[in-house]
Amino acid sequence: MLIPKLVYPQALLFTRASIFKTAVRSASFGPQFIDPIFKHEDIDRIIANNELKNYTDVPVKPPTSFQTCSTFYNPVKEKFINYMMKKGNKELAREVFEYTVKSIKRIQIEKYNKATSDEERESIILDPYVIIDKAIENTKPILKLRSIKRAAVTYQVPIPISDKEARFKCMKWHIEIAKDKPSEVRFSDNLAQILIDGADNKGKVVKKKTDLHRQCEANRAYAHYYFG
Amino acid sequence: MKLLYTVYYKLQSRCEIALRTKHSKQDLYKFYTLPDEVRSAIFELGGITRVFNEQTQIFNESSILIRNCMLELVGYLKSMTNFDRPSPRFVLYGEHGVGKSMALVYALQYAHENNYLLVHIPWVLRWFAYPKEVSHSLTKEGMVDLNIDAAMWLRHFQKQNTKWLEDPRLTTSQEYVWSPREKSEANIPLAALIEHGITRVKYASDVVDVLFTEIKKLSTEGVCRTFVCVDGYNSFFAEKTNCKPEDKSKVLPSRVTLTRSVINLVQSDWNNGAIVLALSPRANLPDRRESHLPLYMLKKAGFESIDPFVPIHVPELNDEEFHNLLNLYESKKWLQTSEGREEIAFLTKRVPQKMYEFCSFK
Repeated sequence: MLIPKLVYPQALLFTRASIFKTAVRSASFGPQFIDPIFKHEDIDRIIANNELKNYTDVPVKPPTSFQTCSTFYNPVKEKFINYMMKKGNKELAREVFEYTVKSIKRIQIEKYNKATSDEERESIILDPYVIIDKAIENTKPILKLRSIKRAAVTYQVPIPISDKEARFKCMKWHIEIAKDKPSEVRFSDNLAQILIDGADNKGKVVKKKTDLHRQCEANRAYAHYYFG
Repeated sequence: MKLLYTVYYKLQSRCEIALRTKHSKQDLYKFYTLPDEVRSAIFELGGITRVFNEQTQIFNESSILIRNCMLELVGYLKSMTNFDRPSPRFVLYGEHGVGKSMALVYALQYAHENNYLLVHIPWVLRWFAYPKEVSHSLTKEGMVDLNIDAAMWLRHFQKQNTKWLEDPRLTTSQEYVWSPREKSEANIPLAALIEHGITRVKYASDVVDVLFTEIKKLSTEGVCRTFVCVDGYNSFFAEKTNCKPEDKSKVLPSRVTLTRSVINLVQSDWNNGAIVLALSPRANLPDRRESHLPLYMLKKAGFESIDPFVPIHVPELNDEEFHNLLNLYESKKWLQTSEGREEIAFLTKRVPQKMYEFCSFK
């Protein structure tokens, strides 16, 4: 079964803010509201293309507390921090995430310094956020299992998954697997190693994804139960 | 502007002069490398900060920025000609993470090159915050000994001055009685005295006290030239310590024997040397870190113990230093964009340690 892909207005895709689209049921703003444009580059581009008159009468949502015009703003980072947070303790979650990024950088730079040939050096990714993006891209599932009851029997039915949910799932897997460690190892160090492995398309999270896909493949006979 | 700075870095940001004595105003704001042999000779058992150790491990190189306060301090030391006067006191002060300990590293290296006897206490707070063993003093009534820490410091002293301790002129002036059975006779070498402190840990605190009085005497006689260096001096005047003796009585820093001997060493009743002290808000208790100015940190008692002194302020980085440091980080791949420098300057107040931490997750 195919779900038609959602088409966002062009202006929203510029900001990479599309992953922040709130769920319809909990949204406090109607569909006529557009996402905020808070980066200087986007505003400059709109002015340069003479598109400013398109935005004159459009209602705009207020930006969240973490959406800033900083040069170092990264939406994936903010999302990861939110998924890691416990009981609203964002300060701690942010600190742990920053340690993770530092740890990734440290491992990669030490690898870079130890490398002997130029080819080897070029193959090492030094930017930690590129590594995180790659790891997420490599571990995103395409299907999920939902238990559906038909004639007093529950079946594990494979159904397609949206991009946002897939992203959420794989980030949660990263956090879950990083917690499974001996007590003397730091969570952030463990998470860093898992992300580096994920960017290389190996490791525990990739295995978890393939396991899920395999089970979906095995349960393909139940797929039609989704329609009733 | 950005391009200009990167070119500047490539052209002249390295200082190739090896000796600290020959550094001049032209070498300001450049980087020099701390050689590994100096590192293992002076700083093996302490003296280098955690952040700098981490940096050297990651960057595969230990480069230090030459700053105005370093040249000012070394300039004062160079200009000392009359050694019959009492040894001068210099006090480094500044905010946390601004580079006071690195200035001390620079000064210590200068002293090492110029054949000073080094008396270096790496971080005073370690004695009071994480004491290894607390016991009542046998010789001084009502006082408390930190013997294992004292023995560890004696090993640090021994390591730093291996060349000096072979000198036959460094001997004790009088007989010292440790207990009814044990005593050190007069005219034994200082090396033997230190060895006694390390092997008989029970008397380590007393040995440190005796060692300081002997060094003062030897310096005044002109046998050796002494360089005293204490990092985090203000923790001697804190209101609380973690030292808990057996009877669970309250221990202030003034009740510890090491405090009394160090404050005695810092007095100006001896000649032929120099004293450099660094004050840090981090060496105070957490509720007393609002200001970095000497009178606030030392309080009245501490200020009077070292008055008069030459204050040397260690400021935040200026424009040139700031861009040079970020260029270094860029060349070492620690910072991976050349944009957003204004933002870094605003968020970190141009404090080098904060800059390092900030760049770590960008």
